[in-house]
Amino acid sequence: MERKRPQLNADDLGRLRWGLGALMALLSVVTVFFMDIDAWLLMPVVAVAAIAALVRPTWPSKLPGFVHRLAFPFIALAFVYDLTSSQEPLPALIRLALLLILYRVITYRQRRDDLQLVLLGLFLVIVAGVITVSLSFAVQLLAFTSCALVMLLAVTLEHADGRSPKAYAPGVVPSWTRGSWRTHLAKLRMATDWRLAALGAAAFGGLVVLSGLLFLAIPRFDIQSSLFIDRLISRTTKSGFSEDIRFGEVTAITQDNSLAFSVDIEDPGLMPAVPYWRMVVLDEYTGEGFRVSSQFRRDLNLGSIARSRVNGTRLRPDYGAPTWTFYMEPGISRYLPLLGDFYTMSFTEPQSFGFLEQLRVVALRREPPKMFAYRTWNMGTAANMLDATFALDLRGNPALAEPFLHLPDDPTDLARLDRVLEKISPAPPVSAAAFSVAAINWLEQEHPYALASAVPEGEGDALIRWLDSEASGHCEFFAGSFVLLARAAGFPARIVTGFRGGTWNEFSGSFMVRNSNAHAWVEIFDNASNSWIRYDPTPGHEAIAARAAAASETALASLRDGSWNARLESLRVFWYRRIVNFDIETQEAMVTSTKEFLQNKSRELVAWTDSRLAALRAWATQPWNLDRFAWIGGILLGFGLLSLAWRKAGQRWWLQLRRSTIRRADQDPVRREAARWLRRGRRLEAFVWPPDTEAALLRLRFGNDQSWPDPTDVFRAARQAWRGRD
Amino acid sequence: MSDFVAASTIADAKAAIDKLRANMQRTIKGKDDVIERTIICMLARGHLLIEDLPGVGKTTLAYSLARSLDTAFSRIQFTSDLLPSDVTGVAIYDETTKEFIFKKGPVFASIVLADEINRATPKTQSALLEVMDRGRVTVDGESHPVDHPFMVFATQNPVDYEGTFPLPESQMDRFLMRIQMGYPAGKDELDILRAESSSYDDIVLDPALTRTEVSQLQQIATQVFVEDSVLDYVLRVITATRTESEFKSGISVRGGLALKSAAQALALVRGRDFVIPDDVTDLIAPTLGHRLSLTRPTSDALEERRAIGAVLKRIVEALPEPQ
Repeated sequence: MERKRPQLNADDLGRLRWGLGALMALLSVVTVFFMDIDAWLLMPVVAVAAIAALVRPTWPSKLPGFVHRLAFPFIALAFVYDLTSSQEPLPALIRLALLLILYRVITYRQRRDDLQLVLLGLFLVIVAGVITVSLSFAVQLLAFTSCALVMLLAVTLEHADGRSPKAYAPGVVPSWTRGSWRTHLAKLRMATDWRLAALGAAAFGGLVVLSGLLFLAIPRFDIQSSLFIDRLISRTTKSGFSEDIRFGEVTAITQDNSLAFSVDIEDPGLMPAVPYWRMVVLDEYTGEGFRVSSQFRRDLNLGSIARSRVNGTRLRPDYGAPTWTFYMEPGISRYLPLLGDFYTMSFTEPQSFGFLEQLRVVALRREPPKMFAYRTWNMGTAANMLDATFALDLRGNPALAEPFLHLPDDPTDLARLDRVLEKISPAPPVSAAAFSVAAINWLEQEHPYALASAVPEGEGDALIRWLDSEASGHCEFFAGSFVLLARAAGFPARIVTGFRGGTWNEFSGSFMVRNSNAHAWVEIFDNASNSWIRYDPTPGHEAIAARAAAASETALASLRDGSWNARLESLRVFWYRRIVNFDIETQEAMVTSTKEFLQNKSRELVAWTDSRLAALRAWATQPWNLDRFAWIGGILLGFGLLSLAWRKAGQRWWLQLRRSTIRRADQDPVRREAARWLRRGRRLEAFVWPPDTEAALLRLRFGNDQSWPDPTDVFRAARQAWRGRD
Repeated sequence: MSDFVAASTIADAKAAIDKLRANMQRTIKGKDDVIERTIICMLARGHLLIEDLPGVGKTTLAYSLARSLDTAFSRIQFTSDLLPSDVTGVAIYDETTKEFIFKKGPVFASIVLADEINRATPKTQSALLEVMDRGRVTVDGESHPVDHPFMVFATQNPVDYEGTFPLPESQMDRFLMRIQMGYPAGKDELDILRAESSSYDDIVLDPALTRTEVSQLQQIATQVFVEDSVLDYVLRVITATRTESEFKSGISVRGGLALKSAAQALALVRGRDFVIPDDVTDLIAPTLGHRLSLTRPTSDALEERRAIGAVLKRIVEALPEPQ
C-alpha cells in the first residue's frame, strides 16, 4: 500500500513562517553591521529578539496589550526625532527599518506583516549592497532571497484554500507555538518532496548563475552615484591619513592588519623589493608638526570637473608598457597611493580630483565610500624622481624652494638644530646623498625605533627636543627630524606618508598592502641629478631591503604570502576585478578568453576523436590473422569472465562490504535495496510480483537477517520480474 | 530480540492455525475477520472485548473457540447483584477436614465469557479484570492459578446503557482488542436460519488443537521478528495519539506493547516469521480504539467509537509507513 507523505497543516506552516521571519531579521541585522551606521544599540536588540523568538515562540504572547497599541506611534515619533536630530536621512531610514523589523519579530504576524518583513529586510540588504559593494553582499542577498522564497511559498500554501487564517488577538498563544523545533523540523523533513525541493533548488541555482552571467555581460553603470546613497552617510577615516602630522607629547601607532589596498601588476618583475607607496607629501613645518601647505591644499581642491583620466609627468611609453591597477579599500584616504611618476591615470567612472604636479600627488575631492579602483600606465618605481621644473624654478628664483626649506622661527630652536647638525657633519656637506647617509646613520645611532614614542619634557620645539635627546620614536619622528636637519643644512626636503612594503598573494596574483604597512619617509632634492631622492631614515629599513634582495632573485618571491588569509583575500580581489571594477575592456577580454578557451577545448576534443577514429579504422583495415583473432577472443573472454565473476561473487562481496560499514540499522543496504524494489512495485498498480519474489523481498526488508535468502539472487529475480512486467 | 524461528516451524504453525480457523468457520458463518482477530487475541495471550448488539453470535464465537481447543468453557452473566466471589470462587469451611477449602468460581475455565460486563458493579468488574491481568485468583492469601490457555471474552451492549457501570479507561486497557461482530451477510444468515438448532450447547465441534499446541503457538508468536523500522512505526503511531488534541490522553506503554504483540500474532496467522507494516496498520483500530477517549464527549457510545476511528484513521494516514 503506497502511503502519502504527511501534509503540512496550518500550524506547521505558521511555525515555518515564524522561524523564517526570525532568520531574515537576523540576516538584516548582519547586513546593517557591515554598513557604518550608528545603530549599535538597535542591532543587538533586534538580534536578541529574533533569537528569543526562534527559541521561545510563546513569549510574544506575554507582551502587554499597550505595546501593540503604542508601537506604531512610538516608531513614528522615534523616526521623526531621529531625522531631525541626525539630519542624515539614510541612517535614520535604516534605523526605522530596524525598529519595524524588531516590532515584526516580537509579534505574531499575518500574511501582510510577513510580506512587510520581507520588504524591510530586502531594503536593508540592498542598501548595504549598494553602499559596501562587498563580496559578503552577494552571500547575504543569496541567503536572504532563499529564505524569502520559502517564506512566500509558506504564505501561499497557508492561503491556498482561499481563506485567511484568523488574526491573532493580543495575548493569545497561536497553536503552532506548541512542540519543539526538533519535531517540527522532523515533520518538515518528512513532508518535503525532496525531488521537488531539489528541482526548486536547482532552478534557483540556475537563476542565480544566469543572472550572474547577465550581470557580467551588461554594461556597467555606477549605481551608487546614481542613487547618491553614499552622500547620505558621513564616514570616519580608518587609518587616519591626513594632511598633517603632529608631534604631541605621547603618540602610539596601532597595528591594524586589515587590507588597505591591493595592486594588480601586468609585469610583476617591475615590483621593487621594498615598494614605497606615496600618498601625502607634507612640506610645511608649523612648529607642532608637518602639514600640506595651504597653497598646495588649495591647488589640490581646485579640480571640480569630473574626469576619468589624468596625464602625469612621465613621457608616453611604448604601447606594451605595463599597467598597474589599484583597488583601494573604503576608509583609507582620499589620497591615492602611487609608486612615483606616471604617464596616465584612469578611473572607471569620472571623478572630481586634484593632481599636484609639484608633489606628484593625486587626491580625490571626497574620500571614496566604497572600494575605489584606478589604473596607472607607465609608473615609475625608482627611489629618485626627476623634477626638472622644480630644478629650473630653483635656479631662476630660489624663493620657490622656500616651502621645502621652512624651519622653526625661534632662534633657540635653530641654535639647537645647528648644534645637532654640527655633530652629524662638521664640514658643510658636498651633496644631498652624502648628507643623507650621514644624517641617517647619526639618527640610527642616537634614537631607537619604537611604535610608542614620548617626547622628553622641556622648553622649545617638540621635534627638536626629541632630536636632541636619546628618546625612542616611530617613523614620523625620524622622517620629521631628517627633514629639519636637511633643511638646516640647506637642502629642500619634505615628508612623504603612505605605505611601505606589502605581500604578494600567490592565489590572486596581486600585491596586498595592509594598514599596518603605513609609514612615513622623506624626499630630499638633489641639485646634481635634478631629482627628489627618497630616503627612509627609520632604523631597520635597510636591513629589510637587504634581506629581501638576498633571499631570492626576484623581489616578489620574498614577499610571498600563502596563508589562509591570503586565500580569502584572493576571493575579494576576484570580486573586485571581475564584478566591481569591470570596464568594457575587461569585459571584452573575459568574453574573448572564455570563447577562446571553449574553442580550443572543442578543437582538441575533435582532434582527439579524429585520431582515435583513424587509429580504429587503420586497425580494422589491417589484414586479419590468427594473432588478431586471438587478441579479440582473449579480450571478449576476459570481459565474460569478469562479468561472470561479478555475478557470482562480486555483487555478493560488494553487498557484504557495504553492510559491514553501516553505522545505523536503517542504513542497511540490503534492506534499502529491498525497500526500493517493493516501492517500485507498489507504484505501478498493474504490476504484481511473483509470490516467491515478493515474499523474499519482504523478508529482506522486514525479516530477521539470519533468515535471509541470498540477497543477490532475490534482487536478480526482482530485476527479471520487473523487466518482464509487460 | 526474538530468536530465529525455523521456516518449517512457521509452516507447521500456519497449518495448525488454518485448521483452527476452518474448524471455527463451521459454526461462525461469514465472519472470517472476527475469527481471525479472535485467533490473534488467543495467540497473543490477550483478552477480547466484544461490543455489539445482543444476538449476533458473541457467545457462539467464544464457545466454538473453547470447543476447538478442547478446553473448559464457562459463561458468567454479569448483573448488578453479582458479587466478586461469584466470579472468582469462595473459601468455605469444611466440617470434615476442619479447614477452609477453596471452591473455584466460574473464572476457572480456559475460555470465560463475561456477558454484559458493564452491568456488574465496579467491584465485581475489577475482580475479573485482576484475574485477567495476573492469571491467578488470590483468596485469603492463597493464590490459585487459572487454567492455561486463559482467555476472557467480555461483551458490552453499546446501545442500551441504562443502569450500567461503564468500564473505566484503566480497565479497558486490559483488553488486547475490541471488536464488533456485526450482522452476518444475507447468504450466511440464510444458512444460520436453515440450521436445525440455534443453541450454542448443541454445537458439536471436534477439537482442532491441543492445549500444548496452543502454548507452542503462543510461544512462537512472541518470537516473530519485528524489524527496527516497524518498531519505530509502532512508536510513531502511539506518540501521535499522545499529541493529538482530540484525544483526552494518548496510548499507554501497555497499549504499544499490545499493538506489537498483536501484530506479531497476525504475522504468524499470515504465515510469516516477521512483521510487516501492514500487520501493524491492520490492527491499529481494534487494538488502540478502546484505549482512547475523546476530549469532547459524544452523545452515545457508537458515535464516540466512530469519531475515535476517524481520528485514528487520520493519524495513520498522516504517518508514512516504513518503506
